[in-house]
Amino acid sequence: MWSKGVHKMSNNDGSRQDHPTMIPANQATLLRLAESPNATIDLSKEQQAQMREADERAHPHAGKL
Amino acid sequence: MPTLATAPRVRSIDPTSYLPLARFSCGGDSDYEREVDELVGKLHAGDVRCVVLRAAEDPNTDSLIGVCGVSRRPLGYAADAAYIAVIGISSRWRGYRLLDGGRLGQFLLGDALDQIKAIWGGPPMPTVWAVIAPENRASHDTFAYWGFACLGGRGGYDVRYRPSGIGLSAS
Repeated sequence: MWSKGVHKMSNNDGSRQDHPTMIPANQATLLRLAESPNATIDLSKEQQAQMREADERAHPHAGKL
Repeated sequence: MPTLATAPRVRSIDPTSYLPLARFSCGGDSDYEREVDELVGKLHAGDVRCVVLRAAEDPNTDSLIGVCGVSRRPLGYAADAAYIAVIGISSRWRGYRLLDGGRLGQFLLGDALDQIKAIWGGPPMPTVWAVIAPENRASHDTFAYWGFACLGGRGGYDVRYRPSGIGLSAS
């Protein structure tokens, strides 16, 4: 599992641009998540499914007639 | 179980000018407790920023009881989610309960959810998430109290997830 972060890089024209950075999840500590703007944990498929299940429990009629 | 004499006072603080953060400690020696202490120190130093940092204080002594910080962090398909970046009770006040018997962590997290609702412009409430050390049962209980589901984890932390649109009543 990986965490996505963002770090700044300079383009050739000197302008700044955001680029995603992949951080191993076992290094996705409280500090890393707090320090990196837009950092996130890249959920596994199982966790994404659990997230959807939690949403469906919270909104059982969403998307249904 | 010791009980607070009066209800805590809670307010948003500027972490860089709030001096009690300089000596904040949860009082524990586990990795996750030390990490909370370090994170609070970095907030005070201005090395880390939150959307809002709330401080609960004892109104009789102005002593810092605990802090809770909120950031914006995406999670999965929830692009504009709120992230509980830090929550911690000062060692001086660990084990204390509110007058109604409630836990300080539950109180702080409930206040943070109120802030999130206001800042994100709810209702509806946005998605809210956090990461919690698997062995930190007190924190897991606190987040479960407010309706956070546990998504498990493969790193050193479990992910707790609260779907958008849930009201502010505890589960």
